[in-house]
Amino acid sequence: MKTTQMTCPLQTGNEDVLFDYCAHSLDAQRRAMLEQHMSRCTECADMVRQQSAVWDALDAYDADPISPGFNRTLFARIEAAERVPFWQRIWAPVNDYLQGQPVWKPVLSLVAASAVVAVVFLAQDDHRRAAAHRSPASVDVRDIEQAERALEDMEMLRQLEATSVDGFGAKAQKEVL
Amino acid sequence: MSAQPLENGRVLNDMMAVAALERDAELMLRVREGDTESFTLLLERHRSPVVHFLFRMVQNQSVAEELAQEVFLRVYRSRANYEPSAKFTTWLFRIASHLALNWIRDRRHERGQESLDAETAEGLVRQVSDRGATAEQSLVRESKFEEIRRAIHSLPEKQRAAVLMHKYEEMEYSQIASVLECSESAVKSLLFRAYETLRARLAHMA
Repeated sequence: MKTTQMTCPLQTGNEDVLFDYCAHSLDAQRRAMLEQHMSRCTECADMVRQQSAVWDALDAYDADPISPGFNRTLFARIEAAERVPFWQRIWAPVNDYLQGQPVWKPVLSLVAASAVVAVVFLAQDDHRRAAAHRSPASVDVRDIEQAERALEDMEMLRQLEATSVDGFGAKAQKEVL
Repeated sequence: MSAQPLENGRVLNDMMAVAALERDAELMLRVREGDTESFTLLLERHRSPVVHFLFRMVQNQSVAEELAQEVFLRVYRSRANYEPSAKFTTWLFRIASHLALNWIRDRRHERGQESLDAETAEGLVRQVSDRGATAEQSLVRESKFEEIRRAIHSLPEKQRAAVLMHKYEEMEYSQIASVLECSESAVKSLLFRAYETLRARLAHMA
């Protein structure tokens, strides 16, 4: 059989070709190509050897025989399920779906949504409370500052007035003399 | 040509697979029309693969059987809405996988940090019996079985499900992808990581 060269499955990320080889599910042509490749590539050959060992080991993991009463129990359950009221039977597929969903997902979403609402509420409340507390204090500080500034201004004016009066008086005295 | 029998075998297998696919769909359509005998036939055809898959997933025979009953109960309940749009086994194993993954998840939450050793003590590991074997051979088999069980148990659930469907149900990547509701490349990645773990733990058994 004519075979073309195969690119290394390990280097091209096609390890599934090696798995298929071990599972005997590769067609004859690809099987021959891979065998030819493995004669040159020790990495692929090693992997196939190890994978084959795993494949064979897994054969030993057989399951127990099924209980003889399996069908009887199942049909009893089916009969019981058929006896339930019509509205409950309509609800059953929805219930099956909901049971298929992890319980923590909706609970987690609910908790997250509640947490966001709580944080927003608390933040607004804090802001309001802080504003209510901060306003009179800031007014007081501003008042004091304004009063101080006014006093300073008045002091400055008084000094200016005094110097100008003194200056004017000295000049007048000179003129009188 | 040496490959001819293999090629012929594949063709035959494919034809049988197509026939089986049609047979399952046909039976399910009859169940939809109210034929309970067809449901019994479907049950006989798929009971063992489903129970064995679930046993290897949950590693407990009674739980596996209970979950398998739930699978078939759901199939029966959904008969009125059945449309043969996908392979019957894909649908069947999708239900089985969901139930197994949920059971494992719930159990993990319940059990918290309990170790695998505790499970062994609980008696989840069965005794591998072989009447023809000597006591020594039985011990070797038991130890090998236990090692494989632990190796499979060590895999994350989705990787475990992918390996079990690939190895024991001989499903193709595309079908495993449909069952696990992910892409084919995601399945290949799951299998690559799972087999990497298994090679590290089991390759010495060669």
